[in-house]
Amino acid sequence: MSTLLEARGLTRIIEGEVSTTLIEDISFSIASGEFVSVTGPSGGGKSSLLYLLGLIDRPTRGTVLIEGLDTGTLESDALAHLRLTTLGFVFQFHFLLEEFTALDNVMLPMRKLGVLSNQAMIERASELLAQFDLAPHIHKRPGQLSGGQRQRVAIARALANQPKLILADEPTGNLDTRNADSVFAAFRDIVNNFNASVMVVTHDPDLAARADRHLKIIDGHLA
Amino acid sequence: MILPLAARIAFRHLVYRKRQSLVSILGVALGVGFFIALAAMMQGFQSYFLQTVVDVSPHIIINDDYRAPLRQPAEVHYPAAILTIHGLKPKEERRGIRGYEAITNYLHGLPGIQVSQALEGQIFLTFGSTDRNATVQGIVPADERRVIKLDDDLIAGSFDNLETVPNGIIVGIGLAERLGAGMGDRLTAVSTSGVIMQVKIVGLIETGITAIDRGRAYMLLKKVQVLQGLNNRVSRINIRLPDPERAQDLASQLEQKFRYRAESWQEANAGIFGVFVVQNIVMYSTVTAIMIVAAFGIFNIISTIIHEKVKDIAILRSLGFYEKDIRAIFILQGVALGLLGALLGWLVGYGLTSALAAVRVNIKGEIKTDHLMILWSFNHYLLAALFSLAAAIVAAWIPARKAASVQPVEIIRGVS
Repeated sequence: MSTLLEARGLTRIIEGEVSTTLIEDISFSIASGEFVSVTGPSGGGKSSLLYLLGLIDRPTRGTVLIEGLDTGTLESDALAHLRLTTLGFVFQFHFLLEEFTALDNVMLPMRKLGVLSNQAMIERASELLAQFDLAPHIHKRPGQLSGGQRQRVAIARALANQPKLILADEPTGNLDTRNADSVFAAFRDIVNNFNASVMVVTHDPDLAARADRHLKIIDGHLA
Repeated sequence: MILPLAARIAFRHLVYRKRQSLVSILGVALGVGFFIALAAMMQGFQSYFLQTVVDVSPHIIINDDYRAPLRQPAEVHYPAAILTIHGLKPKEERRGIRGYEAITNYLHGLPGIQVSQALEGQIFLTFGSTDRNATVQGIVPADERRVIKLDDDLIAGSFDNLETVPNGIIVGIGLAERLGAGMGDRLTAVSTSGVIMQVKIVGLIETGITAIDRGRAYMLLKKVQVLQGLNNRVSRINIRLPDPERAQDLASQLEQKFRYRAESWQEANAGIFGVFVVQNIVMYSTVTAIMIVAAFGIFNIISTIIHEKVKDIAILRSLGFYEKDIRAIFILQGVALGLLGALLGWLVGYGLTSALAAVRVNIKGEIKTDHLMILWSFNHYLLAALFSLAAAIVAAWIPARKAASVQPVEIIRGVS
């Protein structure tokens, strides 16, 4: 399998009266079609690592290479474009837009990319939602959906532009066991059927064990 | 219709906050509405006055006096010398413009220009036991008609009667009322040179400008020359131009050429125009203040939306939206509020202007009218809309910049 993402010596320090090191000198890579889980104690730097890999934060030292491209040299808009085309995010909180229906939320990244026609976007978004058993709920707003349904809408949205890597930050943190299980099943499904890589941060060792590879971060270092 | 994405999001945000959006729109609408109504009223009055002045008076009047005293021969011959001349006595001259026929011929040679001559003088008019002074204009009606809209103000009789009725006189309605006289009445006219003449009222004029209606009379030029004892003299040459705006330039050219004081209608009414400038400043200041308040309303709603939606902004940024996309969402909200406010403001403005047009007043003085002068102009609507849109964009731009600079990781980290 080819390398999709490579982290080289990633260090993130928040400067202030007292500087805080979130992660330090982390290096690893993710291959295409790989399912990676990350565990570790709270405050250990799991989410910080995910934000750096997801290009929504910049490292103090080190760099992230995506398909060999050094993202450290890119401007804000170029990073945004990479996020739009190559990456998909799922957060602990679903972060859906309240004013939009499930269908509209899933269509947002597609609309931004602007490649498909309106009809094609509707069809693709509907298919994605149907794959996560949300077909009857596509015209509902987030407020009308359960926690698990919202999270699945968020996963569908992350898949909208067929990203090569899904980054999920404790996506099951607010879900019961049954919903958490279905979300993890969805991730496995993405790896198997969408040929994308998935990296999931979780506290649940049982769920983490279902990934292809398991990373552990303690006090900002890879254990 | 497929709206661009930024417009879609902007629209949803506003629709989701109907009440706040409506209040902002109303704020802009009131500003726009008041501007339109105020502008219609103020410029209505100004253009009425201007039109009246331009119609009633010649565009340029060449008078029989000089703006600066004649230079003495010593001053002409020794321009570098320091001279003090004492005991100068003005040369006694007959009143009137010397060589007025040559000036008239020159003016007739200029394209599109209409010229008339008049002799103006003061007379006392007596009717029964009442007497009033008046400024009588000696005119040739056919010439005068080409220079000013003479007949428009005529409410009784005809200027042609001056030619047909011996010693005919046309007086302002205010003057006639003060004398207690009417059409066909015979008055006694006494000039400052002591000539007495029996005259007969053959017409009445009403310009709407009280000073004119109470103090002006017209007679044939020849008759006024007799009354004033100034045979073959005129005191004024009146000029009408195809383009009244050229009056100022031509007046100074004529004054340089013939030395007699040539006064344009702009110069003659400079005092009033100064008042108009002040009026306009007051109007624009008032409306600016209203629009600033309205802009604060827009600033407030957009700042509130940004505050409430900072999480959404972070998620949009993490999804791959550019800073400019975020900025566009909130500027579009400002534009939408400004545009809707302007459209509603047009209706408010139209309603207010119609209400002002229906108001009955009883103004007597320099201007006499029973209603407010209203100028219906689409330019007012356009200007108000542009003004409100500019205010809305500025009001939206400030918070929009802040929204675009949101660092998504800080927000996501805070929520997680």
